Amino acid sequence: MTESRRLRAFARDVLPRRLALVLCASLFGLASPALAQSGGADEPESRGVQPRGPTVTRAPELLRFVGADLPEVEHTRTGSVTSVLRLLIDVDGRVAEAALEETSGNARLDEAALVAARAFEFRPAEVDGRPSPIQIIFRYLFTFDPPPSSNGSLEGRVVERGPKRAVAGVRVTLSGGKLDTPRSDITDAEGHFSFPDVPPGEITVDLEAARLTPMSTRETLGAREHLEVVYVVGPWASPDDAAEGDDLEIVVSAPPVRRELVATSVSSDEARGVPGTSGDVLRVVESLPGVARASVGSGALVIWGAAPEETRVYVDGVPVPRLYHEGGLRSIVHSDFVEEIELIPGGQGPSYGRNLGGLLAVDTRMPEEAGVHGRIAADVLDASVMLAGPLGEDVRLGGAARWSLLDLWTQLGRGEEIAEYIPIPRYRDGQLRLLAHPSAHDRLELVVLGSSDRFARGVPNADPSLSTREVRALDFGRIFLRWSRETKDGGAVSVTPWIGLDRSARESTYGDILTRIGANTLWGGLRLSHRRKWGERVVVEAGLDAELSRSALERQGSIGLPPREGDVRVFGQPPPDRIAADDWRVTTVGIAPYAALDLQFFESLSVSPGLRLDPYVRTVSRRVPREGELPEVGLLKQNFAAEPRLSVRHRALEWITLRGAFSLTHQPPAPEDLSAAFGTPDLPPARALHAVAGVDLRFEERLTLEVTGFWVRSSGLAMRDASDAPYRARALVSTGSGRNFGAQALLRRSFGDGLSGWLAYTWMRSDRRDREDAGWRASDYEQTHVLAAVLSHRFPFGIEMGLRFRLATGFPRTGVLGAFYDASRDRYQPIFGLQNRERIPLFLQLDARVSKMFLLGGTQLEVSLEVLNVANRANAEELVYAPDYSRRDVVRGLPILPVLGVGWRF
Amino acid sequence: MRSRSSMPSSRARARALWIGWPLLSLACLPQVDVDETRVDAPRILALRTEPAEGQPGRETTLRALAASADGEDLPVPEWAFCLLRRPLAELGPVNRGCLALDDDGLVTAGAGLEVRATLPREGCRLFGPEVPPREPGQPLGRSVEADPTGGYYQPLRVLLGDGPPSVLDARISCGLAGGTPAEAREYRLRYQPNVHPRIGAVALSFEDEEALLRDESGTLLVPRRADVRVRVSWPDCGDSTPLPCEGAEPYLAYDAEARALVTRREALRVAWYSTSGRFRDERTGREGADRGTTSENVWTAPDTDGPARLWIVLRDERGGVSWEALGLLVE
Repeated sequence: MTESRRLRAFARDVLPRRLALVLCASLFGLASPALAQSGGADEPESRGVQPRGPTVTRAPELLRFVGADLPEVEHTRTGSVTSVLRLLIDVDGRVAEAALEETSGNARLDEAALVAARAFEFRPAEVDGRPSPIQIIFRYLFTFDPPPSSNGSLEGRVVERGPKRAVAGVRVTLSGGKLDTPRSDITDAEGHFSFPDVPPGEITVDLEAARLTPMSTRETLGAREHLEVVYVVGPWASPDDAAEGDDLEIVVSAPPVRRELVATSVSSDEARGVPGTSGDVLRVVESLPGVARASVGSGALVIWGAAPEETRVYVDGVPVPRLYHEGGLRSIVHSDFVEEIELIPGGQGPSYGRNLGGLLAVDTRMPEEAGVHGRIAADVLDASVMLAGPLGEDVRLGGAARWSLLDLWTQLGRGEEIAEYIPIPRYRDGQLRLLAHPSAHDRLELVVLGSSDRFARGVPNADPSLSTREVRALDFGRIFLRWSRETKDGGAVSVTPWIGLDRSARESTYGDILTRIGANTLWGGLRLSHRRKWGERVVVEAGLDAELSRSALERQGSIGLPPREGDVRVFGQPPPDRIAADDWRVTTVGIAPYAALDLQFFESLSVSPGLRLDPYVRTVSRRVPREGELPEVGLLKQNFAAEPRLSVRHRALEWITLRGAFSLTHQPPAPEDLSAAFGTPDLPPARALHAVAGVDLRFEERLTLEVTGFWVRSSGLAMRDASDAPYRARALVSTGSGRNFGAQALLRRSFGDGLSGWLAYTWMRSDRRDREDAGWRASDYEQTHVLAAVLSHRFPFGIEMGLRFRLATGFPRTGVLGAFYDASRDRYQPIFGLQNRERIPLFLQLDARVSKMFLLGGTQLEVSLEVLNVANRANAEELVYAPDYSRRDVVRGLPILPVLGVGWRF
Repeated sequence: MRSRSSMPSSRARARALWIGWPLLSLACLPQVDVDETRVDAPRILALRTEPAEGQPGRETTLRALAASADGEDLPVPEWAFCLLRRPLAELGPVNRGCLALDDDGLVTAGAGLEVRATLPREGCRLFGPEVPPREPGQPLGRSVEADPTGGYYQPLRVLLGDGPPSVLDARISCGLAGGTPAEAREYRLRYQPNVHPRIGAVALSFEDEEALLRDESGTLLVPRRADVRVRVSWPDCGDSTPLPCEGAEPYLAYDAEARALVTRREALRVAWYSTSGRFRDERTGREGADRGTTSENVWTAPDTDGPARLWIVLRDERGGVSWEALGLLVE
């Protein structure tokens, strides 16, 4: 760093905000090449001070710079001025004399410069090798930065409807608002246009081209906001093949109704480089605000303290049973097919329902590069392949498949013995997408999703009653057809019929207690949506969310498995050995119409009321436990729920937006809970009320802070009957209630200069009450503090590096006060303290990732190294006890673990 | 004979670490091992009722095997029947109230290592398949599910001095639930109540099958740090016909999933205890499908001279239990 640069940096650091004083010091007439270069660069009019007497062998060097103490009135100046000073530096390097050589034109600045210069300290000059006094000319340059502009920028693309080809040569003109004069830009070959430095407010955007019908629309630009838009125009042909007078149209689509006030979106591009995800973009969800850290290997999605089964996962609006494969190592959708992930922890709009907690919406895409493209990748966990290409004009086909390699490594390492102790998940998934544009206005997609999981573990024991084994399997598939049309009036219509099949099986053996649960579910559904603009300030959306499911279930074994929220137990505790068996069928039909408005008032207030009507009918094949040869008697139950939704957004200042939302949701009971032997066939739905309020602050173009407070009250939760005289076919009672409240903050910096990241912090309480007369206790899924910091940077030459730090309070656990001897089963049993009053110790982990992209001809080779738990911290994952409960320890999580991955994109 | 240790071998752990994939976190196994075979304080090792499967309202004999390191100063066991039904929300073996020192649901049965008492009459209603009386305006009550062997149990609480309580689920005959009337009739005709298993013989030898020496008083002599093979055997119950037998009995049970009466064979478990030295396995046993009639363990003598006492407790799957005690001299 040159001297002048050091001084600039120093001055920027010490001087007041809105005023950057930049000092340019030039030492004239001294023979140091470095100084001469620096001074010459900053001062073209250098005037030298010739050395007196013998030769100057070392020029004086400024060691301590003192910033000028400016009069307050000068803080409002702009531009730059220079005071030229003559300084006499003594043999100790102090300024013995300072005099004004040339005024800046402002006496107060001159005086301030003199006062400051007298406090400078130099390394003394040397003459003939000995320290000597010397006189120099010093230019004190004052540069006054203008106040930061509140202007934003607008850029975008103009593309042709249908194939989304870029349209060049369209004149885009901005006018109105605070613009003094209209400004224009012409789209380039990529259809791109750009307007930097645009004053905030509402502006008019006009699009014109020789063969386009002139079109006008309006955009609202916030202070320092960077707004990106895409304008879709009608069919476009080159001038050569266009018919005379065949005017084309420009359609500005109605924006989606902004219903979700607390939605955190992450693009796949941004998510790919987040450490700890092994390049799986959907695993970035673990680092978003409001999401608890799941135990290693669980893959559970705990949002705002809600139980995992209270959160729904959608892929393109179609529900899927899980986001991650067994073990939580991988998601179920190939990353190249993921467009965006949206996490909505609460206060959702009316298009979604049947959940008490949050929802996670994954938008997928078809890689739309021209020609055939693909990607082959492998790492320790799995291998995958993706291929996409044209199948004719306006038709593209893409497919991806992935399969786990963990069991292969086990076999290669002859680790069959290990496999008895360590769960080895085996998973497969695949996606097939067909995209067609039957007309310029229509888009048709056929999507097939499939996923398969197998998971087995067991601990053999010389005592047969202590041998344990667990096998889990889940296969599911979805097929959906999505037709979407952009109408001439700026609206949008989409229709998505879908079908699906889930097959799950879970078998656990603890000694002679075998518990087996199997379920086959056929799904069908239809999602309709119609959105259009009514005038300039109203957008309306109406739709239908219909689901039909038919489940056939069978269950055998302990009534205490699988564990439920609220169970008082310790890790590894044998289940109760009272067993039952049942098989039953559940059919549920839910047809939920919904409507939402987006009303714009006073340019700064947006109100989005919505209503969802959620009636459903359910049949259960058996209302009482099977007994002898008595015929089974089923039941039919219906329910109607009207669910209001409301969100309000107010831009109080150009950089402050206030938000609030309210929603009411209902969730039908799970088919697994409707057994006459293990559950309650006529369980009512549970309900949840969400209230959300927050504020968004935009500090600069790419730096935002979102703070959100939330309050959730749920009721009608299914709990195990705590009575010692339960009724028949009433193993579960809907007496549970919950209250979750807290706040989350998200400080986020988006891409732009290669640097991106966020800091997400959530504080929350999640309490449950098993029945009305019981006290509140911590939920099994509460993590009071959750912090995730993600930072990644894209360097030149295809290098990307990232860090992720996570901190999370441990889940609550019920402490063990002692034990008693169970002589029948020859084991000690725990005596519990107050429920959920203890916690798993705090979790802290730092992960790192570095990747390098190599260009090989027209292809790309990416090599990545991810190191999980860089600090090799022994995090606790669970509390475990000695067989006699006399000692306690923890199951520790991942040690430091490097994961090398290779991917080739062509 | 199963001889596998209950923990992964060091070789397996080493391989696991080399494979190095994420869930190898289990390689970081917690350190909570305790030697359950060691008797170093007064404790109850086994409890049983005679007969092994009683009738509610009938007399039964309650027996306890209590042990201490020096064989003296054993408190007197205090017995109580517990009449509290376990709620579905509690996942332990008995209602928490059964562990209380005093509760309305506890009925004192006596004190001593051997006690005569009468099984509560309401056992099959509280802890069996009989449906509880219906309260006016309320749905029908829920009966209690059987265990995997089709058994129902009357809980007992036993206190031994100031030590932690012990509980025993005493098997009671309550018939069959869930089957057809014909199956219930067949069950009544063919079901044989459980009998306690019997330890036929206990053989001790060194690893090379060489027999142990005895001193002039007949006490077995064991060198310090010697590995002693201990083999316990029980009667062979022959074919699969349900008959009373003191080994691994075949028994009749109702398979609720298959909706049929089936014949199963009891699994047998052996628990090993000693006042000094160390057993290789804390428990061994034979699964129901295993027709073997022996089970063995290795006891490593301590490195100090002195008397040692071993206990062997044999349990069957339906709650039957018997025990044997041995005295050794380490020198």
